[in-house]
Amino acid sequence: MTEVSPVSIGIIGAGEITRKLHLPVLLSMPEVQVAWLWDRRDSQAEMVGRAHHVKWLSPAISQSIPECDVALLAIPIEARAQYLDIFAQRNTAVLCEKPFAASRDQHQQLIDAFPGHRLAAGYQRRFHQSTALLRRILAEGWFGPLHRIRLAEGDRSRGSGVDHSFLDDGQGGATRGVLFDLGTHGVDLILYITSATGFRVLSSDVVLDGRIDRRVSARATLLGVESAGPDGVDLDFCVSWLDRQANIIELHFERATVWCNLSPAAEVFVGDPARPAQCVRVSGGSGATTPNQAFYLEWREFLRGVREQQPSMLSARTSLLTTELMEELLARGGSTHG
Amino acid sequence: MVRVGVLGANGQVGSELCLLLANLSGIELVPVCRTRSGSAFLRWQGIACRHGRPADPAEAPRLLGDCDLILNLALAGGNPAQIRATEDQLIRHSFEFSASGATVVYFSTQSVYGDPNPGRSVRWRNPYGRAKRVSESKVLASARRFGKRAYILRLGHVCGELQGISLDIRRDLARGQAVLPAQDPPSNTVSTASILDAVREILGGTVQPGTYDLMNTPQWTWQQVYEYEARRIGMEFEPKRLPPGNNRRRGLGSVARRLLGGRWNRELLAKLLAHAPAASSRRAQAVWYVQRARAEIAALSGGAQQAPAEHLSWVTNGTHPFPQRPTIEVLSEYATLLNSQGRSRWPRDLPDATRERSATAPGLPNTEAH
Repeated sequence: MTEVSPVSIGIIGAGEITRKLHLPVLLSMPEVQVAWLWDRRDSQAEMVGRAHHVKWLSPAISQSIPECDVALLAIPIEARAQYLDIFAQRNTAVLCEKPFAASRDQHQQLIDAFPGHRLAAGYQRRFHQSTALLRRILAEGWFGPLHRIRLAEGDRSRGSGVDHSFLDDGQGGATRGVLFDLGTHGVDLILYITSATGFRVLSSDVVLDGRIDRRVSARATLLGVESAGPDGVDLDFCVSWLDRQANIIELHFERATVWCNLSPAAEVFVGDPARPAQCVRVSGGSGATTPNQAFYLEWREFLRGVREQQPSMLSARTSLLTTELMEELLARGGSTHG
Repeated sequence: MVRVGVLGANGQVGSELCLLLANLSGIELVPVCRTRSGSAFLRWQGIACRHGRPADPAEAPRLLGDCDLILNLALAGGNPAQIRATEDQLIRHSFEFSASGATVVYFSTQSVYGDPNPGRSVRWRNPYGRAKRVSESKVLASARRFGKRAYILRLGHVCGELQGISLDIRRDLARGQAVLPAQDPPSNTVSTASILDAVREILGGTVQPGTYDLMNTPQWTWQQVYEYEARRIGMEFEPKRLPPGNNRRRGLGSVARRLLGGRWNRELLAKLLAHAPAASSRRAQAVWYVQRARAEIAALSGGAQQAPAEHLSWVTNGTHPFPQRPTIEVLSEYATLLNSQGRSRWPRDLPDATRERSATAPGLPNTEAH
């Protein structure tokens, strides 16, 4: 039996998502070796590196990032360009944290610069057990054609637990708002489950706090959904940091409504979500029921794609429509300031 | 007019308390939040805030300097050493930098009484309870040092319109998944309305400074709690009860605990690390994250079982009750306070404190809700 050398991973960005999820998961995977960690804040890289016994690089090295097989970019969108250029030239595979891009044009430019298997967007909800089940129910047509989807997510903002948050950097504009930070998961989930190929935004209402969106509610039509009629699928979407949402996705089919909440451990039910006690639980399938499991499956799938030179289910090409729909929701938003 | 500063204003309890306080006349509310993204909900509700780090001695005077009453609901984050250091600073600054003659209310926890699980011959405190116990003694020491009045209110499970436990109970009720133990145990719950009422009592000067348990009066049983939450969502509650001896929690949580080397080992470690150098504390936290990831990845092939709600197995406390009115009366009185009518969304930030303000003994001239 041939021993395969581990894949070396370089990490750019030593923030909370790296410290609490990516690093613990990567350090639990025997097939990878975390080669180095870099952050523009020297002390942050050192703290996280020391704590996890991972080599950290000083900020001066940003212009001469060491080689690695695969890179993780866990930094804000607007800070990624220089690294993506370097990695594209080196043929290094890159997994970008979500959101992937601020606009359709930016997204397209990035995927044009990499082969499909070497660039991925970290939409880890695709690996939730409930996501796999919803996708299967839709694909196999259990309850007839799909007519409508409703997704409502969010809650009032709470204690941030930190003194400074990248979300407070007003220079980041739209990418600091609730749509790009939280709503991107829901938008991607909807498009992934339905395999929609297009959309029409009918209305969008954006509540702004200065330049930053704190609540977005919208109606749209999803096009190209195979199990729907020619008129497409109606979409009701809401994401908020201002008021508590139902935190639910509902799929209204011709013969039944299927729904689940949006947590990793969500269970899928058939019936009226307003009367949950009378609903029937649907089980089956495999997938993640915790964030660590979702991040593990995400990495495993991406690395498989890199190894086999086949686009993974996280390939950045598969989320172009996600970025496009988010951009459109903000652009079409009848903005209100209260 | 009494100026009330709230630390941890955008936390779970802090937010709801701010909404309630904002609708009382005679109070000038000063919510203190570290980030604008964190304060978005309050500002959207029309409540102006101050932004900054009250744990930083350079910033605390402008944040707290004109406050007659400080409500410290802050919950520090980070590793054990960071939590300890931040808690210490917040406590000290709430006394040192508030207006002269100010009163400080520190919100503690029933966890200071020790392990909430039943059947323990020795009730060891968990790290949270231990940290809060240490903080309580620092509150009393700071009160003596700075010559200000201090109240310590030990909260149990806080119920209310924005509180996680209430929302969880309502969700379980709606799904028909609410299950109670064979016997109806008393709860340690306290409503946000009761917390508000306690603050008003303190402002009115009717209660002596000291350390108190703040729970519903008289103490509610869990069935009463579930019945109340059911009424709030327009349901009738007919309790399903677990058979006797079937109250233990099962499932992935207990498996994970075993995999992680035992809860007591972790808690002992946390106790030691709270006073260890920061680097050791961070390292321990990193090891814990990795262990958790490994356990969860290993569990991918297994499944989790349903378990009764954890709060139902907690033992009750209550040795120094805060003197107050029956909770049901308080809930009725404050039922309409949680609204934002008459307030404009996204107000400007509150101006910084000015040190010239002469502080008077706190009193609430008019406590009528408006």
